[in-house]
Amino acid sequence: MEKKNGFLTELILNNPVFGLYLGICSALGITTALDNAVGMGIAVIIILTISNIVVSLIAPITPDEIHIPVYIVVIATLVTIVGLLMQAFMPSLYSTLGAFVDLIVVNCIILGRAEAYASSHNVKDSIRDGLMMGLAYTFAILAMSLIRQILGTGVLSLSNPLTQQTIFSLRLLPAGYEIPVLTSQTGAFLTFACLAAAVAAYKNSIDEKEAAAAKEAAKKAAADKAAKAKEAAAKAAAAKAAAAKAAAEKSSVKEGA
Amino acid sequence: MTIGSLFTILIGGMLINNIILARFIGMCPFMGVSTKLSSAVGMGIAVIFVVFGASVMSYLLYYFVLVPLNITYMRLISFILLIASFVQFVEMFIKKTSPSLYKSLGIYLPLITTNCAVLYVAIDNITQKYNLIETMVNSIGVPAGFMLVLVIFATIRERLSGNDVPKAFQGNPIAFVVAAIMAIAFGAFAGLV
Amino acid sequence: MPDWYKSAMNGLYAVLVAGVLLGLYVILMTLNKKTPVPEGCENLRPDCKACGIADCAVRVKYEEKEGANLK
Repeated sequence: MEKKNGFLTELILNNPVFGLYLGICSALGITTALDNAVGMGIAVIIILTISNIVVSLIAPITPDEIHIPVYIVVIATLVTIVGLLMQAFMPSLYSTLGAFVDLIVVNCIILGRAEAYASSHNVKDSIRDGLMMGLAYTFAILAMSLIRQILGTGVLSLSNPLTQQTIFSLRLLPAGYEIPVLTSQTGAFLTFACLAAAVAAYKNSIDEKEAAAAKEAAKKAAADKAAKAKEAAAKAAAAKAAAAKAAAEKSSVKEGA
Repeated sequence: MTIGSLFTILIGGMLINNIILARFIGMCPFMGVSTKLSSAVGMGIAVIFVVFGASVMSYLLYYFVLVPLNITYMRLISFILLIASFVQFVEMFIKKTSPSLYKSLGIYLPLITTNCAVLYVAIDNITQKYNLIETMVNSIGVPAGFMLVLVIFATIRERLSGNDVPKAFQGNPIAFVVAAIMAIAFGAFAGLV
Repeated sequence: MPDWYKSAMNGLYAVLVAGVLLGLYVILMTLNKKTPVPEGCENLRPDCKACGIADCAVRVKYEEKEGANLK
């Protein structure tokens, strides 16, 4: 992670969901309510971080030919454990998320990070990378579910997954003004399209700014060069003139003598 | 179990609960290979073949190995390994027997290993408590729905490439808008069965 | 049979099944790698150059071969 931009900018620009289109299945499937997004986000952060730790530990002793099967087993074991824990302690969340808990195994972000990052970095960096990627994923599905829940049902609510008590429930849109289509499948695709386009537009504007800055810099450099050349030319001319003058003076002096 | 219930499973998997437009599974290859009609057809056939084979094998593994040994919690790990092995086997088999088939499908086979659709169908057959025949029907219906949507989508995207789309929407975002409109159309199948 | 024996056997079965499947996968993978690609298929390329999905296996191979960074 480069520390060039702010944390939030980094989260948006390098977002695995909107920028690279990784893990979009669950981002579309479970974002009808904030509860699901929070539960799924936490599960993914935990699995991603632990899988990154394990992979970075076992990478040096894994033969190169079998590294993908080994990583798959590691990830599948972790997902099984998390799934069983969820089933035991948050049965309602587990049944709403349905198959998407099991499908974390084939979530491209996790195997992708294990292969691309954790296998070649130390444990500390891998933990940071896992947390960062997990947070970016959670950020994306939170944004999706906020939009879909607020505009689709008009109510923003969050409940404790362990006890199913409602933590808060706010009515943000008056009844009759909500857009129910956003909670359907169509709404998932539309919300995703708009958010991905917004990220792309933001990226484009930054690129344009950078290009403009680069152009400006090039222009300035060219102008500097031109000015220097002019100066040099002027200097040369002045020197020539001075020389000519000196010569003339010399000759006049000579003539005078 | 009657012919009618089998037909319900087939239509339900293919159109009503379409794997892409209603359940959002298998989106990665859907967005990736739907830019051209020929590749959409190749990918669709490969997915039908692999989903069918892997689901039937997962079914047999589950009911003849995992259940008798009382280790059903190994479902996820054993299924993903089985699917990955099956894809490798299919690729090797096609390489040896039919170069022409490999030419048209070979490139899509490695893509399928990490395709959520295969794992999803294998697990779905277990959670729905289907028997072997219902498993077979479901494992044809679901990937057939995948191929149907993939082909329709590819034809739309071929047309889309010549259009003037706002810069931010170019590429994948406009494809998602198209998918949203297709989801409305497929919503009409809900009352079919 | 004592309880601990049952659960130990259960765990053993689980490890065995996973081990057998993992072995199967590794064997098939090495066999697949050894099998030569048929003639005329060496430079197969998908038609999905423009796709934004960075993780797809085909794309990774393509990037390696062409040295192209498609991000």
